[in-house]
Amino acid sequence: MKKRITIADVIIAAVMIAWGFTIFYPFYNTVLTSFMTEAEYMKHPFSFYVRDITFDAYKTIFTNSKIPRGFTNSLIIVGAYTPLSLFLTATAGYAMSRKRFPLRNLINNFFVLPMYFGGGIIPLYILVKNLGMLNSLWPIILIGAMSTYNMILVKNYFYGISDSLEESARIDGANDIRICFQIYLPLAKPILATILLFCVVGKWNEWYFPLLFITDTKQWPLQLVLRETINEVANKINAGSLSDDQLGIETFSQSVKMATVVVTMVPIMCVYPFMQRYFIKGIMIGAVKG
Amino acid sequence: MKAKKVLAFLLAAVMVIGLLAGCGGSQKDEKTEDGKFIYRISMVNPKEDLTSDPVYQFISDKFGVVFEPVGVSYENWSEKNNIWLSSGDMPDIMKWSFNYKDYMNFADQGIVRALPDDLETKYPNVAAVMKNNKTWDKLKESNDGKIYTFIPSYGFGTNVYEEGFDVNVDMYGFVYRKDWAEQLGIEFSTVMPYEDLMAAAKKFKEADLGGVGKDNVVGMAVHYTEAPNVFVTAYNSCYNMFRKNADGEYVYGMTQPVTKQGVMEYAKAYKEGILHPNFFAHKLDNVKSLFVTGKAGIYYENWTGTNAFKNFKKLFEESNPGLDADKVLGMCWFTSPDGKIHGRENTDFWECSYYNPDMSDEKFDKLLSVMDYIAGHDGAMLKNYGLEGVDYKVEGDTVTRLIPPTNEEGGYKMVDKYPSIGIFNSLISSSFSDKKFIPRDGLDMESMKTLNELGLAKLGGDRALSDVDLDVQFYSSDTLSKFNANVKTHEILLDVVMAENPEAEWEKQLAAFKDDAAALEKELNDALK
Repeated sequence: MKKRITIADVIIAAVMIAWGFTIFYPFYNTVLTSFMTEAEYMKHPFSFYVRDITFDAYKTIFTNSKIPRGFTNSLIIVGAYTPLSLFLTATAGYAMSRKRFPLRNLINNFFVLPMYFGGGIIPLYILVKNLGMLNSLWPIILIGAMSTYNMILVKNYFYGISDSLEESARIDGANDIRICFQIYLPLAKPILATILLFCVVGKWNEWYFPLLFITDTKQWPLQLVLRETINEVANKINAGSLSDDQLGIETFSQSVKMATVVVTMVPIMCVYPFMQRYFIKGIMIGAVKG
Repeated sequence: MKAKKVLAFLLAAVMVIGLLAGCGGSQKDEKTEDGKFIYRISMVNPKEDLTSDPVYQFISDKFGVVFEPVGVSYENWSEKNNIWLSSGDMPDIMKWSFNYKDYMNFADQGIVRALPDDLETKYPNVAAVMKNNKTWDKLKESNDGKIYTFIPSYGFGTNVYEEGFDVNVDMYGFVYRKDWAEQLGIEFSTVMPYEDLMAAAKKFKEADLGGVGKDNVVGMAVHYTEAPNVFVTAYNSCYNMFRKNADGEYVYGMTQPVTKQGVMEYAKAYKEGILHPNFFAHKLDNVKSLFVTGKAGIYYENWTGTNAFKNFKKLFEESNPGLDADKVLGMCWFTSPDGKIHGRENTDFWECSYYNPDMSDEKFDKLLSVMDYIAGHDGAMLKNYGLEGVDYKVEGDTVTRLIPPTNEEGGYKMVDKYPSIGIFNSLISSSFSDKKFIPRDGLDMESMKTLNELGLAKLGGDRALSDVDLDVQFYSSDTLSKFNANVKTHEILLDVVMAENPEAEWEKQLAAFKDDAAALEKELNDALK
């Protein structure tokens, strides 16, 4: 039987379309601006089409070595961080989900307490400095590799897996490592995909720790390069009577800034559709079971 | 089972050792294998590959030094410096914008190094650069005469002024459409009465010569942070400062009756549509676009350095094909209703260098030797002309370039050829007589001519510029810091301008801070008179 369309349906649809438009349009405008000339942007900053398409902004980006290099650094960081974080959180989550693990509750508190209290930036900086990791990608990869939040998600997911699987594996002679890697982890694909998405998106967007620990601009990840590109106008206003040379600012047009944003967004947009089906299912499973 | 326990024990031991690995000391006086001192120098947004050109090699070999630039972003400069100071990881040379309160804190805590007592005799060029901006004398008044920072003179705004600039006047100015003014029969001059300028803005708005529609056109494109410099400065150049009045007493500008007149003018300009209705939300790009797209006939900005005006002209021509910016754009300032020229005298310093106290005397002396060389005649020639015999030759009093121009405008910017000059500029940004050494090859002479005319016009006539009061700038107190943090003049003025009844709003805002201001006035008068 065909469903009757009511006025309420029409109103809801209209509101959702309007809401969707307000979310979608800034992204659309960003892409459009990246293909505009500066003069066209000045005349028509908000538009639905580009009158005079130019690829100059993208040419500028890809001939400016900072952007491709930032891209490479971001790929290295994400590529190293993601498997490390998955390994640490999955194995920690497995261990913490085993009832027979001695001092489980005490160790769980050790993990959870730093989520509420931290030493702050200065002790972290001193630690990284004394470990000789300043000006390298190592602190960016290692800091946060063991995420307590993700570990709790994994632990809660493992709670949902029947203990009889472990018992039967032990009877067959399997040890903890085999049980974890060959039985439990294959069953935990949804939660692992969720954590993988968190890791990839989180690390791809990270800029604060690189700003803090890396002074060599050649090692800056893409987000930090993007931030410096976009912030130059704000810096200029704050500096008042100083000239561009005195500030050491390299100026970029609006289209270059937007092109940089697009280039930064594209990789995540490529990953997310493949992970989306695991995302909501995995996080809800982890949350509900907890 | 036993193997598993042993493995678990070993893993735990590795983790504990890893914890202890984080404890360590710091290295002092690092040297290369061939015995050159290594200096870490913080630089804002440094260019890449600064240490591989012949000029760098020349200095490195001459003095036995190596520089490692440590990049910081302009936005997190303060935070980074604070972290370095707190964690003991301060670079050998740390750059910062000068703030007297911070300076005194650092000196009291002993976390920065003092300049040597014999600086004037041993490194006269370095001392001369600092004495050029009078900070030397002020800093000598505290800390038993020891100076814990180096503050270079930046010279005047563009560094290419003609003679006649006795004061480092600010370079705020109005750019207007000459072609529109001719069409409407409006007469502009380099300095014109304030009332005439506002009348011209209104005429531009009414005429809508850009054809953008009456609802889209405004009289004047001004960024909200700069707007008080137009309307309020017209009545009181020191509106947001503590300065001495005619009786020699320190007063706070915002509490003076004459400032209220300027604030009311500001509100009136907004209500009459001279300013854009949403000007308070505009970024700099939005403000520029109003002018270049024909929505405003007058644009206001700070034109320090010829680059700003050159880039603006380029943007204007790109947005208006067929128009020649040099013919169509003019620049002007105004005389205030009191008949005087208001504006600001700028300090010619802003940043300073702090030095790591862990440096040995030998290492610090070596650094000062490099700085003294760069600050002298030979260093100035190096920065501006390059290497003798390679980039230029000297015959008598004549300097002849031996290389083609380094930029497309036909000019010579030696930092383009030798990026390491950026490091030496960071060490010591000027020579004591830098004006003589700034070559004028390939500069945008039209822009320079326009800016010089503006600057000289501002210095002609009866001036009422806000002066540089080093006594106030070098005064530090918790009350003053708290006051400056709490009283945000831009926000106060915006609230007044936007209010239904600006006068009532002004009285309300004034009542909120005038007692604190009065207390500070008394404090300053007691301390500084």
